[in-house]
Amino acid sequence: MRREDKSLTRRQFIKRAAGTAGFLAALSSPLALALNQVKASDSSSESASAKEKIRAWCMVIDLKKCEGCVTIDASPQCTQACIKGHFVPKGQEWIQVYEAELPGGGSFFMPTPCYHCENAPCVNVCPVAATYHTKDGIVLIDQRRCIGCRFCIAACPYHRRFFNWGTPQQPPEALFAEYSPETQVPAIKGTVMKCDFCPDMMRKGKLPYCASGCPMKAIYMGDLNEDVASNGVDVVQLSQFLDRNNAFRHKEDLGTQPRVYYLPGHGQSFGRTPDDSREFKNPEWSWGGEDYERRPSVWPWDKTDKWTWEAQLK
Amino acid sequence: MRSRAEDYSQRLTRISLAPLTQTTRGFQLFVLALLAVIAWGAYAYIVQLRYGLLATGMNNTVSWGFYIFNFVFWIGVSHVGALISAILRLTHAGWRTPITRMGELVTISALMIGASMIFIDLGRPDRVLNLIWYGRFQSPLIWDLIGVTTYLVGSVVYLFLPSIPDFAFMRDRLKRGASTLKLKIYTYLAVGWTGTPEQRERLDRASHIMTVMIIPVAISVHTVVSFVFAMTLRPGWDATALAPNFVIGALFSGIGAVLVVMAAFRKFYHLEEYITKRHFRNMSYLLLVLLFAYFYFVLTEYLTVGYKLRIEELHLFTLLLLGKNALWFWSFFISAFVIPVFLILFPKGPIIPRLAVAGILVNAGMWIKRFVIVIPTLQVPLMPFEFGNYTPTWVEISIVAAGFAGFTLILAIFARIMPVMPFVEMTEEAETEASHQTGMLGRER
Amino acid sequence: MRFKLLVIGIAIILLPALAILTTPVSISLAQTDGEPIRIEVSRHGFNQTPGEFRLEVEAGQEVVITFVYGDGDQSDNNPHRIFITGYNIFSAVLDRGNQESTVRFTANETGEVSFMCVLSCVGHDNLQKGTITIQQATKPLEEKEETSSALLSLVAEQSLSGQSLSLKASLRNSQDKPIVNAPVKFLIKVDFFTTGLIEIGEAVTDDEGVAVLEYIPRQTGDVEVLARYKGIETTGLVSIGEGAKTFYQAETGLHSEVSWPEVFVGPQSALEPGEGGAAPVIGIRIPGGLPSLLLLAYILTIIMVWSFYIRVMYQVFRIPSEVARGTGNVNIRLVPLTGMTVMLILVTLLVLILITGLYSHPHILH
Repeated sequence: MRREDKSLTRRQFIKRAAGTAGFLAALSSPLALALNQVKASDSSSESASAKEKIRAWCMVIDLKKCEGCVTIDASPQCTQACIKGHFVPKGQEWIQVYEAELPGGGSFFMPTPCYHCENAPCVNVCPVAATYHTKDGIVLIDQRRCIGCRFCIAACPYHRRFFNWGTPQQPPEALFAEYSPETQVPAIKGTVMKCDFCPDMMRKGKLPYCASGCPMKAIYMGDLNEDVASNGVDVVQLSQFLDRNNAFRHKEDLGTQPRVYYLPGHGQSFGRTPDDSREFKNPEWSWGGEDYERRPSVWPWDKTDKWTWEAQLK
Repeated sequence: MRSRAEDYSQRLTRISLAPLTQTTRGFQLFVLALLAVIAWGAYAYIVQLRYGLLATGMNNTVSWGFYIFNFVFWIGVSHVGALISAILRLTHAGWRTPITRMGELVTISALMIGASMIFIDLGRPDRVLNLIWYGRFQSPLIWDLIGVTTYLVGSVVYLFLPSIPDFAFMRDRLKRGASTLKLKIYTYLAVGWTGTPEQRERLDRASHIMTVMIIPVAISVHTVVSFVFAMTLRPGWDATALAPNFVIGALFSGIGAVLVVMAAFRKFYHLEEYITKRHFRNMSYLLLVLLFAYFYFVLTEYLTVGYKLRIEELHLFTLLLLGKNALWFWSFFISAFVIPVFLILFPKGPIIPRLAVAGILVNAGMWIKRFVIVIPTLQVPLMPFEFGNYTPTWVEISIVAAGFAGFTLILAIFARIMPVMPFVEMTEEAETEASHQTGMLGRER
Repeated sequence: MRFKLLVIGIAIILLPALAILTTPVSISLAQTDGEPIRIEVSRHGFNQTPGEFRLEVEAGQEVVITFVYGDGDQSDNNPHRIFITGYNIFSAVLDRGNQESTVRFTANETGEVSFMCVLSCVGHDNLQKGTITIQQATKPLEEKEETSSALLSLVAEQSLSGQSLSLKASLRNSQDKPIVNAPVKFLIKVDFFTTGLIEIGEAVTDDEGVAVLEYIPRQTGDVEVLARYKGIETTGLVSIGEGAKTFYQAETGLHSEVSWPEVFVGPQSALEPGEGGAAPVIGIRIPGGLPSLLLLAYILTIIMVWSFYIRVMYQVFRIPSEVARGTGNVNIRLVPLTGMTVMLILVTLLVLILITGLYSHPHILH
């Protein structure tokens, strides 16, 4: 009886062989992905990496100099420059100016880019490593890999990540650019975007758009490794600059180790007092329609809702 | 005495197999209605695919909405299988036999709907395979993937094992002429079962392994679902006790769901003799215990957070208990805790409708509680700006409704292709009990 | 003879004029009494100077500056607006419609204030380095003499980056005697988005008039170092070789003494983001140290659970005996076989997901 069980008919053998082969094929595909890359050139030139400086980028924002651009009666120029430089989809402010309260009742302005935290919660939770650090400490997003689960948006405690809910509204010239995670142009629908410290600009020795766009020169780009910072006009020793000006980081107790430092102030370098009632203006996008934020209503038959599908597709 | 057991087993067999061979007009209309809801949901999803998640009410502040909390809800409901089949089996609660399969069916259907909810929520569903090619082991979503897959496969196995004798019975019955396709399917599913003691021993061993295995797997699934929230720095989510909170809540809502399913099957398939008031009474005790356990978790969470009131949690509580979302929170509280307690503890009126209503209210309350967990936290401003807003659109509502319809449809279809009670096992139990009573006047069942 | 005198007289008058004309007037202006200082503001800078533009005034006096719009030759309007720090003064907007704007303030304290254009204009960067130096009205003659004739010399050794560098500044007065207890500032020229001077420290001269500053340079290459004492400064060039490269180490997570290196099998390109910052690719990676225990425990748990599933399926596989072989040529073991195959595939896939890790934190690696 046992013998009969164990002896295989030809059909059984073929079936089992096919099954095993299929199983091995399925097994091999993820392995192949890994192993194929081993064959990829390991010849990343050592000399090139030796020549390039090791950087640890950070940003210092001197709040004594930031007055929200109210004294020049314009919308915050850092945000405008960023929007212009990256063709930021309408509605997203990668560097955003917030008006925060002072203990005495006054207010100060806080331009807030992505903090590129060393212990970034967004990097920690991404299931596919679509957001990751570079060796310089910058946190980038590769929109070609993002699956749009928005876990990173839930994890970021500073509200600095933005999602392309529909087709992102950008100017036509943005669509001709070749996509790179360092520029994030053109934006891809269904993926996450945020401030990226403009690594392509910095490699060319230029400040990020926000830093060069600030008319008050309040934004400094710094290198923690070389201990130096500059806003395009002045060059300072970073460690001394931070300590002598009582620098702080936002929500530091959360342990995210942000890389943007603030020097406390309220725009006094340009004559702004804390009780100044002028509010900052809303930034403008020179592209996109009025309906970029419009959603359909609760009920599909709502005739009063002027939201149209066609407008969204543009 | 012997004749009574025979009548009993004949009746049981007839009633168990009836749904497999006959369909009523009512059932067909019911299925059509469900399919209509699902079709409308599919249309809504196509609209969402075309226009992006802009078709939903989610925005950059409230970036997770209906889909995510429904995912949590369905995974929660899916825990009933582990509880009824496994835990009750381990504790030798003999009364559980008729309802074990229903519990497993609820589990599998709920897991399928829950997994689909998370897929629907993706902004780029075409890249879902990136989870496999580029999965990061540090991410709670990958733990979710692993947990749900493990639990789903385990539940399917656990559904399959006790059904083998039933499939064998149907295979033997059908040999007297029926379509060869059906015969073939039942033959495959019966895996050559003949009821020999050897086979029984194998099956018992296998079932025992699965019983023990499925409990930690089930607990781990809802634990990793809770980690999706507990691993962030948001008020209300950044809690150490979120994992047991979710697990107990899952068991709680699962019992409620199975109560409803029990009542429904009992009514529509005429199982009055087998699913009796005793079953409902025992389930109600379970429900009560879990109600108090979950109430304990909710109470400690809100008390400890409310005593200290960190600034963001102050905003959350203002929103939740007194502000915009107060309606939701208090209706959850009343629906999940207050009314079911009265329904269970004060036995006025027939027990089965009372408990069915309690089950529905518990599920409704827990559905609202999942909303309360996900959305108000996202509305709390993290930087100096206004509170967020969230209004679901018809796309989300349609898809969620299709989820409920899909759940019901899967259950209805299962009920037509396999018996909802393990009648062979029940027959054997009845025969064992009857043989103990040979010589005595048997009691009325 | 008279003609020669005339020529000499004209030369005597003209030469200073020539000197004034040929020296780059735009580098520094001193205020002349009564007259407002006129400064042209254009896209090429203050008075056509893109670099540092210095204005010297005396404390206690009223300073009057008239800014003049200098971009009239352009077809496009290029508005400017000048702001003076310290005194918080804005000029009016200078453009084609309004070509002049006068500001006045009384310079109270000695020191330096800056003035710059605060609008986004063409040539904005050329209008950022305006400086007004407010000097003491009178200076004691002796100090002036001492300062103007003191000699400052700077000696720097060659060094490697990351290693201590000694900067020695020697200060002597006109009688070649060392000036003791004098504070000497040391600066370094750095090129970081723009070229500027960073003050790296201050040292006091000892009995021999030598001030020594120990400095750990973080740059490599030829670096210009300056020493300043009161009004005088001197520069030197230091050649700094490549020593240490990393001075700042980002750290996250718990660090324990008990640690072991991680296991990594994969391409070099997996260790950091790819071309143009592309997302990292996978390799086989088991982290080192205590976190790896968690991962290994997780993997083992999954393997254990699925092996139980497979074992259960195997029990089902063994159910059919000789007696019940099924009707016809139906493979009665199809379901358990499929089940076991599917389970094996799934568990392999899941374990592979866990083993192939991605480097999302290369900034901590080095």
